[in-house]
Amino acid sequence: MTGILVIYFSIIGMLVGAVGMILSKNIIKKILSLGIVETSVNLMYTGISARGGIIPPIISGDFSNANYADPIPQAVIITGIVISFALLCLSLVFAIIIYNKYHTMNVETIEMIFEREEK
Amino acid sequence: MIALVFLPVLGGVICLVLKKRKNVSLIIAIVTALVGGSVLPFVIFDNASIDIGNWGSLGIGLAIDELAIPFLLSTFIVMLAVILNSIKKGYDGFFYALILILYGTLNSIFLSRDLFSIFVTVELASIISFILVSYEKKPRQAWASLKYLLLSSLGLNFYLLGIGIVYMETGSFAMDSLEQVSTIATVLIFGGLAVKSGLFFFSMWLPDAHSNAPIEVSPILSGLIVKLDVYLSIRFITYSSFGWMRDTYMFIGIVSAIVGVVFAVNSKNAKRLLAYHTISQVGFMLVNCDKSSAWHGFSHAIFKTLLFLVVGNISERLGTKEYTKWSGKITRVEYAFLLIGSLAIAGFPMTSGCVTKEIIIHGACCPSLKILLLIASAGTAMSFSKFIFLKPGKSSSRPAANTVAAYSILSGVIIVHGIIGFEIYMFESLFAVIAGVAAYLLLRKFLRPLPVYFERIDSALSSYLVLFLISIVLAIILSS
Repeated sequence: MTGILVIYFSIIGMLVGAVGMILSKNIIKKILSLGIVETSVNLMYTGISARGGIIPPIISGDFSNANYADPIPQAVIITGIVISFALLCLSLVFAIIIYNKYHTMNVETIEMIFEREEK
Repeated sequence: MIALVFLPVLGGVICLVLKKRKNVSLIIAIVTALVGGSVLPFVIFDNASIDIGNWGSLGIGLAIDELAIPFLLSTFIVMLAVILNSIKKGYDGFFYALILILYGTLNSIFLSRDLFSIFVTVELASIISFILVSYEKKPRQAWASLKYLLLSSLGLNFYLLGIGIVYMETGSFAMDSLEQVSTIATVLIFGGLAVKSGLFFFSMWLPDAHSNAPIEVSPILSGLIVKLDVYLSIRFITYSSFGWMRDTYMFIGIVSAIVGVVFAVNSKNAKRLLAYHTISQVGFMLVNCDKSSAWHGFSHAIFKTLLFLVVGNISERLGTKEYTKWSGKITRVEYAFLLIGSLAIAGFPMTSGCVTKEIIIHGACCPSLKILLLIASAGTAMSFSKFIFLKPGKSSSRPAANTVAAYSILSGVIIVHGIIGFEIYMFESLFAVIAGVAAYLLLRKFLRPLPVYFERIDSALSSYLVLFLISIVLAIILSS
């Protein structure tokens, strides 16, 4: 029951993050919205590891009535957390490079400058 | 089989340790690329499959079959050409380390049979390509790279959600469990990977990133990184849960093939023109998603690498990317290779582009689709007439030997593939080429660059999400 609730919450979080990426005009806020999406996916993996009624993959025995946490999604999502950490760091580096040159974080201003440069 | 993944990564790590010594790391890069290529025949003719670790079905499966072979071959040839072209450009060991680790990662994606392993390797390839796009640290490149990063990591999060649902339903991350999963998982996997595919409306980061990347990086992006989604789509569509995707891809592919050509014909910037053609050619590949598209992916990787290298070297030498200013300034050698690449992408007989593109056009399911594909093909010839009608000048500067070696390897592959695969009905494709050239001569006064509205980050994000929602609705309708 809790597992299903967690999954629904994580999907709502993903939608909120995706809408935030579109609506905010600041690069840092866009990156933070991406962080919300990534955290929601991590939460969803916590939800799907709550199991009951089938046999866990590591230990043998009778688990047909027990509730337990499946270890594989947890092991898997640690890799996902590391990847999202690396992506956030890299995107902040790019934001710093852009800010040092143009002294603005507004997406529309930056795109206007680049389109004028191309002409 | 593990050697194909392990050796390039090992070479990359050695380059990273010796990054101050430019010549040593260059030699290591060339040797590693050649060793990777010489291991390839043993792997291809082996047809084996292994599970790493003693975990049985829980382990990560590696296997090879006929769908992966064109991609493995193109990875080797493109990497070799790129490394040969980068000699004497002053790149340090860090660049070669990134290139070699990317080589191992790409091989691992094409061999892997595990959904989560594919997620990790696709993310690793993406992170390396973000760094490579902004390698010269110009703000323009950093912006293109940031746009690519935001879109691509949003898409891959949807993919991660999709494989989470696959795990919840089947209890395994192995690719065989895709046989019976619900439609929502398949549409999340499709939509998540589509952001990297280069289809129009799905991945509008592409023209900016491909046209602003350094010379050696654009071929890798266009020839290999875009092919990840093409390969995975061809692979996934063989599973029965993805049956609804065949019609969807036919529709999206033809739209992408035509719209990409319309933007390319009107472009004035040579590298942007090539970037729009990547969109169009990916559309061609996904129209019928089977073995023929895998071989079109191979030939596209080869001729697009040749074109990007020639155009990149010319624009660096002359200091401008506008092809109208090149006339009379390029040497004869460069013109010859530019001509081979242009004819190959336009589908002239006796080149590899003709062979694979004609198989796709003849394999199309209905006559109207065939006509639309022929129109897109004529549009390709029309936009590459811009390069065909350039005049070579009598400039005495000789191009460097390593550059000519890289060009010759690629042109040799194009011509040999074109002659081996030639069939007599392929003279029909001459009509599309002639029609395209004639259309160019008629219409060249009216060509103006189209607005870049779709490439702005907000419209790119919203067009991706809107198309994603439409494909979710479409999938639920088609599968019920």
